[in-house]
Amino acid sequence: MPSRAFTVGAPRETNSTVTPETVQGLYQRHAYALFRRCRQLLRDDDEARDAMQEVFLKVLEDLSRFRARSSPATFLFGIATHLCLNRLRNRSARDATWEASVARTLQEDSPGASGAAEARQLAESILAEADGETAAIALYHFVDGLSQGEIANLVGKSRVTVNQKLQQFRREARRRSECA
Amino acid sequence: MNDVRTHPNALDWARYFSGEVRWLAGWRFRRHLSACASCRHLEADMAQERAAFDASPLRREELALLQARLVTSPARAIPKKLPQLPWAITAGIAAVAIVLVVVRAPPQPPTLVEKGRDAFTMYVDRPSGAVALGSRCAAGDRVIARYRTERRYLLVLERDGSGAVQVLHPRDGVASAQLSAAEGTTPTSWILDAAAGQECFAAFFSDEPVETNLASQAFATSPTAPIVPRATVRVQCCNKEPSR
Repeated sequence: MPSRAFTVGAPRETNSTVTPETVQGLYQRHAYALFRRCRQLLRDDDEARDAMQEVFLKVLEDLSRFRARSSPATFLFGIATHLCLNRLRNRSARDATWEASVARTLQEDSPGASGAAEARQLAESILAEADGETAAIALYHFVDGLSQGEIANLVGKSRVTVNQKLQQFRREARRRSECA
Repeated sequence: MNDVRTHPNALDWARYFSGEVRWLAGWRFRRHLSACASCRHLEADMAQERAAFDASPLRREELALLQARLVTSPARAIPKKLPQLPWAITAGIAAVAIVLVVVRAPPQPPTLVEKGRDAFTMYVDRPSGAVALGSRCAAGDRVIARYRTERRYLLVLERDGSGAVQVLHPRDGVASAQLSAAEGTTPTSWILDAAAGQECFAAFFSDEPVETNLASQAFATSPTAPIVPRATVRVQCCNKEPSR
C-alpha cells in the first residue's frame, strides 16, 4: 500500500514531502529525549509536550537540514533548548515568579551554581541575555556542563566564538550583579 | 563524553536514549556505567521512565496530533496569538456556561495542503501561542476549530464528560452550515466550562446538510467514532481538568 504524503508549507524541494512513516520514525526515536530536555527546562509536563511537538514541526518543515546532520539527536537537542529558552522568556514576561522557578531549576541541575542566590543570579542573567544564542551557550555551559567543543557543535560555531560568547556573558552577568 | 571518568551530561544522555552513542563513545559510556553506581541508577530510572513513556496511550495521541498538525497547519500558518479577550471576564463566564461563543475574525488560511481529505484540528489559545489541542485541557481554555475539506457542509459538536452533546457550529443550528471556503477556522471560539471529564469535539463534513439531531445521537452513542451516513467524521478528545 503506498504511503500517504503530506505537503508541508509552500512548494519547495523534495524534502517538503513528509510521509507518516518518517514522522513516526523520528518520533519513536527521539521523543523521549526531547521530552526530557523540555521538561528539564520548563518544569511542566504539559508545556514540555507542547514544546516537543513544536520541535518536531520545526524539523519536519525542513527535513533536508535535519538529514544532513551527523547527529540528529544533537540537532534536536539544540532546537529544543532554543525553543524552551524562548518559552521561559515569554513566561518571564507574564509571570512575576519566574525567576524563583528558574533559579530552582538551575540550582538543582547546575553543578556550578552552589547557592540559591547564585543560581538565581545565573537564571536572571541567562534569561535577561538579549542574544538568544549567547543565552543558549551560557545554559549549555553553566547548567548542562557541556564542553566548549560540544557547544560549538550544537550551535554551529567555532570554539573560539563559543569562548568569546561565554566571556561576554560573564562580563554582562558581572555588570548586572554590580548594578543590582 | 570523551573520558570514562566523566559523568554523562544532558546531551550525552539525549544521544544515548536516541540510540546515537555507538562505537568508542558507546564503549566509554558502558565503561562509565559499570564503574559509576549513581549513573547506573540514573540510567535504570530513565530506562524505566522511557518504557512507560513509550507505552503511554498519550504517545499515540501525540503522534496523531503531530500528523494532524502537519496536515492542517504548518506552524508558520497559525497565528501565534489569537485575539486577546479579558481573561477575568471569560473565566467568570466559563464557570456557569458550557461554552461561551465568542465572535472573532478568522485567522490567515493555512498554506499546507493534503488533497482529497477532510482535516479538523482544535486549537487552544495558550500564553505561548495557539497550539493544537492535546490529550489534556482545562476549564477556561479557549478553543477554536480549524478545518480543511472538499465537502460543502460542516457541523461541529461538543460532547462533555456527562455525555451531553451541544452544537458548536453553526451556533444553535439544526443542520450543518455551508462553508464559504475550503479551509479556515470556525467564525467562533469557545471557552471550556469547569466540569471535569472527557471533552470531545466532532466535525461532520458532508456534501448535503446533516441534521444535528441525527449527528448528536450518533455522537452521544459513540463519542470517539460516531457514524452518520454520507458524512466524514473527525473527532478530537481531551481530558478536562478543573484548572491548568
